[in-house]
Amino acid sequence: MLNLLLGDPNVRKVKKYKPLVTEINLLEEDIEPLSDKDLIAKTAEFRQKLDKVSHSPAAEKELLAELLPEAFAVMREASKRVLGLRHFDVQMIGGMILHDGQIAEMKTGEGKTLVATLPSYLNALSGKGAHVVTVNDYLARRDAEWMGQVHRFLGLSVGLIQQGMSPEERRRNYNCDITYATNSELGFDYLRDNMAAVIEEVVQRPFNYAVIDEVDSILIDEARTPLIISGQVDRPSEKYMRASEVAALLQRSTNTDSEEEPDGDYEVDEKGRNVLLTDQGFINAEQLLGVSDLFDSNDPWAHYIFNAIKAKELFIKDVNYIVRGGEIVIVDEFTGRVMPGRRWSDGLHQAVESKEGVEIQPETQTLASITYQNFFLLYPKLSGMTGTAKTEELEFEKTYKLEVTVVPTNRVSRRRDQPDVVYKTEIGKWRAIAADCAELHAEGRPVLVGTTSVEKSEFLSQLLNEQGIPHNLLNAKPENVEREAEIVAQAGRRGAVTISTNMAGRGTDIILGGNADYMARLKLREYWMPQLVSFEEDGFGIAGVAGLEGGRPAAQGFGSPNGQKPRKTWKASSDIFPAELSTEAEKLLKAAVDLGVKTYGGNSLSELVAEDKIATAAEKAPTDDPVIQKLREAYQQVRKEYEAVTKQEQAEVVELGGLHVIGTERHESRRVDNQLRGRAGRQGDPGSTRFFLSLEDNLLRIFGGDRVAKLMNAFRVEEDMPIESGMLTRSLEGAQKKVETYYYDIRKQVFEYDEVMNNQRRAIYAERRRVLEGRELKEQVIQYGERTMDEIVDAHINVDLPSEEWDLEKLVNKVKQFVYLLEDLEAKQLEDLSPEAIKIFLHEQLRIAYDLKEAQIDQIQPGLMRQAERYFILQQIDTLWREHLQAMEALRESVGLRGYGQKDPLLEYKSEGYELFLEMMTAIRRNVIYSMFMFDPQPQARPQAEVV
Amino acid sequence: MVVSRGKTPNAQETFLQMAQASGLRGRILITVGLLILCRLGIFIPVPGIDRVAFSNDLQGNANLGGVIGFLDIFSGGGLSALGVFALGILPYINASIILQLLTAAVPALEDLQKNEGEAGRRKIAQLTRYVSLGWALLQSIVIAVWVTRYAVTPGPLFTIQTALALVAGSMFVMWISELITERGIGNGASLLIFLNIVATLPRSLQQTLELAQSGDRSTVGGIVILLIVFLATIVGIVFVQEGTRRIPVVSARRQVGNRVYSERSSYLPLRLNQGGVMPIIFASAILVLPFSLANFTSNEVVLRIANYLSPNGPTPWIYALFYLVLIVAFSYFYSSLILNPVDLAQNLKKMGSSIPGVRPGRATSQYVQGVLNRLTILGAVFLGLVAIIPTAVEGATRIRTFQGFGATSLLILVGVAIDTAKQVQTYVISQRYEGMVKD
Repeated sequence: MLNLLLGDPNVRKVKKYKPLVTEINLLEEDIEPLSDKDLIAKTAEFRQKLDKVSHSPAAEKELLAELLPEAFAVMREASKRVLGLRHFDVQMIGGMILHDGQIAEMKTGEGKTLVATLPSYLNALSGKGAHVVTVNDYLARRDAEWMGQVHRFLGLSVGLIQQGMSPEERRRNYNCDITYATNSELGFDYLRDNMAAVIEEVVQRPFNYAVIDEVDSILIDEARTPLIISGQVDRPSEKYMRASEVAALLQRSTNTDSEEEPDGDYEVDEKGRNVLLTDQGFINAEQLLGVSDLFDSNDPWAHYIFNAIKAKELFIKDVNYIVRGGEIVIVDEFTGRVMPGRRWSDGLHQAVESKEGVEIQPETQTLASITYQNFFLLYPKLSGMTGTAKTEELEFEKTYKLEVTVVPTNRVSRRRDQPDVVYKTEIGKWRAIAADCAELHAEGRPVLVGTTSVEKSEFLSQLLNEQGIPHNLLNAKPENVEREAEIVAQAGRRGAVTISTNMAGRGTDIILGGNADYMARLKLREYWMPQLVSFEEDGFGIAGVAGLEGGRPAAQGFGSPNGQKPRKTWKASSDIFPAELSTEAEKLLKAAVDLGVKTYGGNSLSELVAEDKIATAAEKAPTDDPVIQKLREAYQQVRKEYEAVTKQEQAEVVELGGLHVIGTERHESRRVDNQLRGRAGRQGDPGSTRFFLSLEDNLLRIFGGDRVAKLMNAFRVEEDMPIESGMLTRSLEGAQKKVETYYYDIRKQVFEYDEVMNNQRRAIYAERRRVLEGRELKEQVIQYGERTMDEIVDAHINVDLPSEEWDLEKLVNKVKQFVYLLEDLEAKQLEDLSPEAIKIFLHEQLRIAYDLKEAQIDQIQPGLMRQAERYFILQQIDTLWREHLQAMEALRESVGLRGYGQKDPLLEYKSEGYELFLEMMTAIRRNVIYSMFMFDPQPQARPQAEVV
Repeated sequence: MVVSRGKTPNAQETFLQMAQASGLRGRILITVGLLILCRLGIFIPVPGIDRVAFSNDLQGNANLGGVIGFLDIFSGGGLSALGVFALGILPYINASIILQLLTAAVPALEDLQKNEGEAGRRKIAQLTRYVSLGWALLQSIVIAVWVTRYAVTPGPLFTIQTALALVAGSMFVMWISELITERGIGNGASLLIFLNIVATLPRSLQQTLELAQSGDRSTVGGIVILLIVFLATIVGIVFVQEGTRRIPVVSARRQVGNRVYSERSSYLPLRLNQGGVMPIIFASAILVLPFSLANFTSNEVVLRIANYLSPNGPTPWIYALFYLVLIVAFSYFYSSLILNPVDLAQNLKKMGSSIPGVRPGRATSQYVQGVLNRLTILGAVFLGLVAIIPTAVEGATRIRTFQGFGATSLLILVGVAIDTAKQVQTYVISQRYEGMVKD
């Protein structure tokens, strides 16, 4: 109603930018005739202006706003000259939204990458660095090479962070004006920087500005997963295996009604993703294990048993994880992609490993961690882009103080979202989906079916096979992942049926009629890869997934259960290519490959590097490499030939109505649904979407409540008859909203608690950084000493007692314990002094003793004292911080019970966490003082080694 | 308990940091501003009432004055002034109590509270608002009808107009209380009650001073004794309020990890006085019942019973005993309402935790029930003593200027003060972290 009254607030927000767009368009007339040199000179001019105000952030901000129209116009012109791409007006609006530190919602195919160039240019002008954050290495590199050309043309330096780079490379790239990187590289570099032993190891500069691509994925979906640097802990794995055996024998409770005493050994709480042993379950488990108490602190079993049951009931193969090469690999629920290297915490991963009978990997201990939430909040100015942010607007505003503005599309969307159809049973739903696929396939329209898990995608695939409908299957299974590019490339072709998990959501661009780019690239691979990839390389590494360059040693490949795999051929299935190549194109291809073999040597590249060459050739970044040039020429030719066919097919498909997207289940968030829907109707193409649902879907079952259960019985309809009912639609929406708020609340809570850790982390990292930079190290240590003295005095002197009763003897002993150089100190010297005077006296004594120590040490080697100071402080900070992290984690868990004492757990956590932190700081100071005075290197040995 | 100086900064430092913490400063200013607004509203008169006649009647009729006086304690003198905020936060507080009682009785509400997380709690908050609207309507109509005799132009229009003004005022106050909770410091509703109680303090003090100046030596002595008892009561109340039994708890997850750190902080706190101020309020309400009944019916038998049960009657000890028994009974009632040992045991299971030496599940709930029983009897007796002694001393010294500052008010004051102080403390803590970052 308010909307009707005041108009759409978004429209008003966008309107605000309109005058600026006009201004930019007017400026274009002045800028267009400039020569390249004059255009480039603009950057220097902007910089000069900014230099004058660099001392005041407020003035700088104002000036940036003032420079915006001209800078954007310059950027637009440069992009036109270098890339041949001119920013649309709506893209200008997007750029301004990003510059204002907001989130810009832009639909698929609207050119987010190009938009990001605008604010990154403007904000990099101050020389403090701007980061463009992407979700994976490939995108970071592509954007850095492609968009980076424009920035370089304008005289800015462009950096790129990739996995496996050395610290020097990283530092050099972070020092550039604009740096392209993935979120995880940025986060881990931050953590590593704060574990550095010397300042030279630090690679990042202070943060200034960041544009995050797919911002909802990072700040919301990933919000709950922290980045962790961990070390290994040795712990026996037999317990996991015993626990798995016991869990397999225990029975799940059958009555879920909470009123009655449950039977069986355990209950499963699907909503809370938890399992609860019943009283009988505890007894049975103890009997099976032959122990008397699962919680016996000398032989604790409870945790192992709980995890084993969770692994059994809540972690399902091909839904939550897949088994690949003898390892458990997590499948991300939002993207449907595998996440190699990521592990469930708290022994859960080990429990799943034990269940699947694969090798149990050692547990780890957290050395440093930070959540994406808190990491990105370190940036003074933050902005983001995505296709789906509006539904989570409230959360962005409350948690991150990021406003969301929807950027209007360049061309009007022609997508039709058809109303949901609901079936009573799941099987009825799947049949209807199969029938719908068959019909559309016959019509010739391409269809994309989105499923929620590997398991379900395979079920549907089987159903389609039975009906004889040709289709492609895309899920996290290795054999399918390998063909991802191939499948996506032809998903838009006439009559194509593609079944996919959420993998074909975010970032997948399905082009009607087929993607000639991809096809040409695949053709290139067919020729290029077998000739250039070295033989040892292709054990069973999967392109694009293998982590570090060099990959996995082949020996391990032979040991795998699959035995020796046949050599990869990189042959794509022949039906993907729309046309035979002309002989001319084939000649070009062969020539390029020959040149490659001549330059690099036959079969001498790693798979990743070879892949890289193709990617570069397919992009538009300028290059001097003759092989790439040759390859590019061939690529262009192949592409041209394919495009001739696909263009025609595109017209046919558009005529038929474009891509049809079928959703098979509502997801936990409307955003994921919208991502899937967004695959249809890109850039003004026609398209349609429809969701098929059933009353048995997980979402409704777990969150629908009693109402849906009653509905199930109320509808006495056939399985394969769709149900239409207003009440049903409302319950459906209600259930999804409920899930969203449920997870939102969890994230909010996590954020509130994490704020405490964040404060502490920043405080300790700041302290660490001061030490690392070596500013006034000696003063620092002496300050530690003085604080320690004060604490000793306070602990031993009760001001309320008369001075005769003070135990000065004990006090002096304590002081001597820390500072053995003060051996001559006598309690008598302190008599008749007030506590304040005692402190001052002790401070003086400490300073004298410290100078003495320094003189001693410096005799052995000048400057050694400073090194020792730094070493001891860093060592103490690192060790005690690590222990503190665990203490905080334990506290976090135990404050949950404080609610029973009518105390606010969060407040308790804050205040007790603070106490713990102060205790840690005290311990750091004491240990440093103690170690400094005990430091006694032997002159003959190499001092460096002695320090360690 | 020894508090080492390095950890807890002195008051001066704390105030300085409070002033520096920008977020906190804003919050305190908002809170103070809103509280002042609430006070002002009490003095905006409801239109159309002959004030002179009204206040004359109030002063003339001791009985009426007494009832209004009692209600004034919680509405900060709003009723006797008949301002638009006369109902104050009371309807909201009543609604909260009603919903708390209903949650224990109605399964659907219980489900909302326990299983729906934050969303469920929000729904309950919304329900509370509706109930307070209903309550405010009811109360305001009663008052409107009652004050019709002082109306300048009596009639249905006057009744509607007065009722509307009072309801709107009450809803406004409720909104302010939520604003304070959200944007300010502490819990808005508690702070408003706190404010209303404190608002009567100056007058009480003034009356006491006047009494001391005019009275003879024994009066002054009585006042001194009363003051001492008061201070002692406050100390006693802090004990009742903060007294907790800590039952150690082990967590399955921590057992596997490093155990050293968890032991100190991992416990289940059970409060000595679960019900807070509620047992006293219920007990007083019940004790007033025979009184009102006697007034209403003028029945001889009821009158006599009422006389026996009166603190000013011939047998004050019967009154005291009755009071104590009722407080104990309501303490049990409330503690069972607030803490359900079966749910607690279930929750411990969910967390994967257990009380050492006690089996999870039924054994745990039985164990907790046992501990609760013993705690509650101890807490209830103590609470009863704290409630009775000041009244008794007041009766003995015959100084009534502090009436209204009974245990109920003091319990509320202490509770709110402690909670609010804790919240302020956490803001100061964040400020200190900030200081460490900046060096």
